[in-house]
Amino acid sequence: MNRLWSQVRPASIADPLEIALAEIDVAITLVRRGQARRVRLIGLSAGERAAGPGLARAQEARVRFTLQRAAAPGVAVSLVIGPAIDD
Amino acid sequence: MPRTARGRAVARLRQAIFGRPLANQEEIEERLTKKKALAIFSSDAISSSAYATEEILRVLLVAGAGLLLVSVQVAVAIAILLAVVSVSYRQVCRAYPNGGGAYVVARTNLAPIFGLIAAAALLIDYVMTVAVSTAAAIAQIQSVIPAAYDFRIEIAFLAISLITIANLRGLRESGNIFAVPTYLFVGLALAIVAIGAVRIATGTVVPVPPEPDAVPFGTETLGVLLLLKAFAGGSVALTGVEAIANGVPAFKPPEAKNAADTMTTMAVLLAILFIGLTVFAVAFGLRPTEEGGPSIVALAARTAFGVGSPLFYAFAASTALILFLAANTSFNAFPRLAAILAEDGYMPRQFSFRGDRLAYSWGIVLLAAVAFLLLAAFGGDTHALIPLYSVGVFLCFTLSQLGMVKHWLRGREGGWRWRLGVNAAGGVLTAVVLGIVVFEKFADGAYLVVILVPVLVGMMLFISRQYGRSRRQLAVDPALVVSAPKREERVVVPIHGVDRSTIQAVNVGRSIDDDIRAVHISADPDDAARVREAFERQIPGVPLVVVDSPYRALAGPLLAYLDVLDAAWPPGKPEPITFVVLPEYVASSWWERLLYNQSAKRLRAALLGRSHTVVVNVPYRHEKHGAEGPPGRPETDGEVTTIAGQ
Repeated sequence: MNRLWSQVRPASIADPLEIALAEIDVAITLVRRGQARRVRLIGLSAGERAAGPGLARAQEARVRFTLQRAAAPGVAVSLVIGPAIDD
Repeated sequence: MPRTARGRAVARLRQAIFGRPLANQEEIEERLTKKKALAIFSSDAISSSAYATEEILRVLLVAGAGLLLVSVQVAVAIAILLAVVSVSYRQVCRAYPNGGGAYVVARTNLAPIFGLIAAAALLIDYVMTVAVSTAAAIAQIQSVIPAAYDFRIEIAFLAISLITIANLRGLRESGNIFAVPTYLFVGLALAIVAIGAVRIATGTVVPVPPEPDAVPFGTETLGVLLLLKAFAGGSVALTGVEAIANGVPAFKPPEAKNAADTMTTMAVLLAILFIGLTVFAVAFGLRPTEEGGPSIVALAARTAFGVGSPLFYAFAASTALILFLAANTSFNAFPRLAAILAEDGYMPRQFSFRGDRLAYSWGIVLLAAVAFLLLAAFGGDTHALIPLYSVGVFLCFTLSQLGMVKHWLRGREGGWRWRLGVNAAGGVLTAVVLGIVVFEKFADGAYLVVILVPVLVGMMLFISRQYGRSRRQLAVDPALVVSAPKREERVVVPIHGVDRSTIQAVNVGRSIDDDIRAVHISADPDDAARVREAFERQIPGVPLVVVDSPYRALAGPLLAYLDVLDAAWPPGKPEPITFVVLPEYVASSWWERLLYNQSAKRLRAALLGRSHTVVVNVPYRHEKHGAEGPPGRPETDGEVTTIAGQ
C-alpha cells in the first residue's frame, strides 16, 4: 500500500444520502488502512443515489467501487468498496 | 423468588442454612440484652483468663520454682491496668454510642492517620482473636482428649466454619447458642477460685506433682527484663476489652449505658478469674507443659474438681466453648468495623453491605478465611500466636485514650477533669506496655504486626484515594440543571449470522433509532455471502455492512469501523451516541454458559470506556412455545422480543 486514505469527508448526517455517503467514506478508509480487504454495503436506502459520488470518492482514493443492482425485485442494492487498486 | 428450578433449590438451601431474610425494621428485635451481650462481647476478654496465667508462668519458670510467686504480683499489676483501661472504655461507650471504638475515637479527635493506625491494629487484633482463641480451645480439648492434638487444624476448620455460619444467620441466634457456655465457664472458674481460696485459707493446699511433660524449671536470675517479659506475656489478658465499645449499637436501648455497665461487669469478672487462677496455679505448684500437654486451667480444674469428675469435664467443655465464643466476638466486631471503614471510604464498599440476615457477610467471610490461614500457618500453636496478639491491642488502647484526652479538652463536659486524668493515665500506661510488648516479643513474632500495620494503613489510604478520585470525576455542580439531550443517535448491531438472537437484537436496535446498521465481520467470503443472502431476504429494510477482514478477529475490525464512523461526523456538531447492540444467548445451565457469548464478552471488554458509546446487551432466552403460530413471526413481550412457533 503506497498511500493512505486519511481524510474522511465530514458529512451532515441528516438524510439517507448523507448516511450512505458517510458509510462509503468509512468503507474507503477501512480499505485504504488495510483494516478490510473489501466492504459491502447492503440495503442503504439511498444506495443508488450515493453510487455516483461514491464512485468518484473511491477513484480518488484508488479503491475499487462496484454497484450491484438488485437481481430481483425486493432485493437491495449492494455497494462493494475494495480492494485497493494498487493491491 | 428465582425463576428456574435450580435457582429455587439454591434459595431453599440458603434459607435452611442461613435462615429467612430479615427486614430492616426487624434489626431492633435482633439487639442484645446485657446478659447476652456479656456472653458475646465479653467472652474474648474473660476467656483470655484461660491462657494468660500460663503465659506468665512460662516466662517465670526460667527463673526457678521460687519465683513463680512473682506471678501473682504480675497478675495483680495487669489487673490494675485492666481497671484503668475498662474505666476509660466506659467513657468511650458513653461518648460514642454509634460504636467504632479506637478507630472512631482516634479519627475524630486525633489526625485521621491515627484513626487508620488504630483501625489497622484492630483488624489485626480481631483476626488474632479468632486464631488464638480457636487454637486455645483446641488445646483445652486435647487436655481431655490428647489424640485431638493430631487433628487440631481440621478441628479448627470445622469450628471456624460453624461460627461463620452462625454469624451469617444473625446476631440473636448467636447469642442464644453461646450464652450458656459463657456462664457455665464463669461459674465453674469462680468455683475453682473459691475452692483454692478455701484451701489456702484453711492451710489444706497439697502441691500437685508435675506432669510428665512439664516444662522444666530454669536457673536464670530474675531481673527487670524477665519481669517485663512476664508482664508482656500476661498482658494478653486484656485482649477483647475493646469489643464492647465497638459493639455499642448492638445493645438494646439505652445502648451506651448498657454497654458501659457490661464493660464494668466484664472487667470485674476477668480480674477475679485472672488473679484467682494465677493464685491457684502458684499455690498448688501447677506447671505449664510442653505443646500437646494439658493446659494450666485444665490442671487447675483437675486439681479442684478431681480427675475424671463430671465437673472437670464440664469445665473443660465450657472452657473450649467460651474460647470459641471469644472467636465469635470478633465475628461481630470485625465486620462492623470493616463496615464503618467502608462507609468512610477506606475499605471496599462491599464491606458495608448487609446480607439477607442483616449481617455484614463480606467481613464475616474475610475474617474466617484469614484467621484460619493464620492458624494453619502457625500449626495451631497458641503460644506461637500470642506474641502477635498484644501489639495491636495496646496500640488501640493507647490511641483510644489519647483521643479521649483530646475529647475532654475540647468538649469540657461535666467532670471532664477527672475523666481526662483517667484517660491520660491509661494512655501513658498502655503506651508503656505497648513499648514493653514490642520490645520483648519482637523477635517472637511481634515484628509481623509492626510491619503489617503500616501496610494496612497504606492500603486504606490507597482505597480512599481511589474512591475520592471517582467521586470528584462523577460530581455534578449542584447549580446545574440538566436539559433534555440533543445528541443524535445511531445504532450498530454486530452480527455473526441470522438467528433468533440476531433478529431480537436488530429489533431492539430499531426501537432505539432509525439510523441503524448491522455489521458482519468475516474473513471467509463464502460465509459472508451466506450471511448476506439470509440477511437481505429475512431482515429487509435494515442496512448491512459486511467487512471482509484480513484478520481472523472480531473486536479489532469492529473498533476500527466504529472509529472511522466517528471520524466521519461533522466536527462542529456534538458527537452522536453510538449504541452497540450485542445479541447474547442465555443458556439455561451454568456450565452451558461457559460455552457461549465469549465473543460478546470480548466485544464488551473492548468497548468498555469508549467515549460516546453505549453497549446494549440483548439476551435471548430459549422459551418453550406452543406449536401454533407461523414460524419466525416476532412477538414483543415488553422489552424482550420472542419468536414463536419454532
